[in-house]
Amino acid sequence: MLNEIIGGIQIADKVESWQDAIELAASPLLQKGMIKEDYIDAMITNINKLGPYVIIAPHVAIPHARPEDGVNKLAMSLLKLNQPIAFSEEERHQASLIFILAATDNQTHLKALSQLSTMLSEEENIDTLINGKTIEDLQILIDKYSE
Amino acid sequence: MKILVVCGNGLGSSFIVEMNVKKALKELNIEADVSHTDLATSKTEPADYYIGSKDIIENLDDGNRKIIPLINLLNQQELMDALQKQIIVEG
Repeated sequence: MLNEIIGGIQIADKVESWQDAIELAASPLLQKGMIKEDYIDAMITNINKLGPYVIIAPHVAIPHARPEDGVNKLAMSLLKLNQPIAFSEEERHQASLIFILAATDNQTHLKALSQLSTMLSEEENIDTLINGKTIEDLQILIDKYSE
Repeated sequence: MKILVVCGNGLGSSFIVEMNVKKALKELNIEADVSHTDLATSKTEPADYYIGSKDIIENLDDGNRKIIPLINLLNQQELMDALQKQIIVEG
């Protein structure tokens, strides 16, 4: 399930801001028409409004907004940054893994999300993703948690 | 006892935490009704405990609500320790 949902895995050296990180991470979904431009703005607005709560574990951010903010099709994408980006001045708000979540309702994404959380609850998996050199390195681990 | 898991939009992190809270409560032998919602809704929904990302849950801290802030939402040990401390020790 998870590997069917996660499309558009990218690795980048660095970005200038967390807003740029979200925009870049979401760009494959935008290109494939799975989300509208508005959805990217909504994810950024949410963080401006509520703070960097999308950092759910050390180094891991899951930016998302509401389905009605511009999701056409359930999808996720992943951007791995070689240099972490700061979501605030606090050390705990540094992220290297940006998983964009675009859900179409409150239910259909839950299986993929639970597989993602199982994968990320093992800290060594987070290290594996952060240290991954190629998209294939990341894909192998994601496939492992997609059964 | 009612535990409300809160996140910014009510469809991302709160669902993950809800699953983990249920698992942890079972291990701690605590009976509770656990559900998840978004921050805006949670402000008008009564519950015995509100749990979620530190960044979100502090918005609910009005001195009356019992809040349980988490730094790492995926760390089961942190969650177990927090639940144990808040519910069993402090009541």
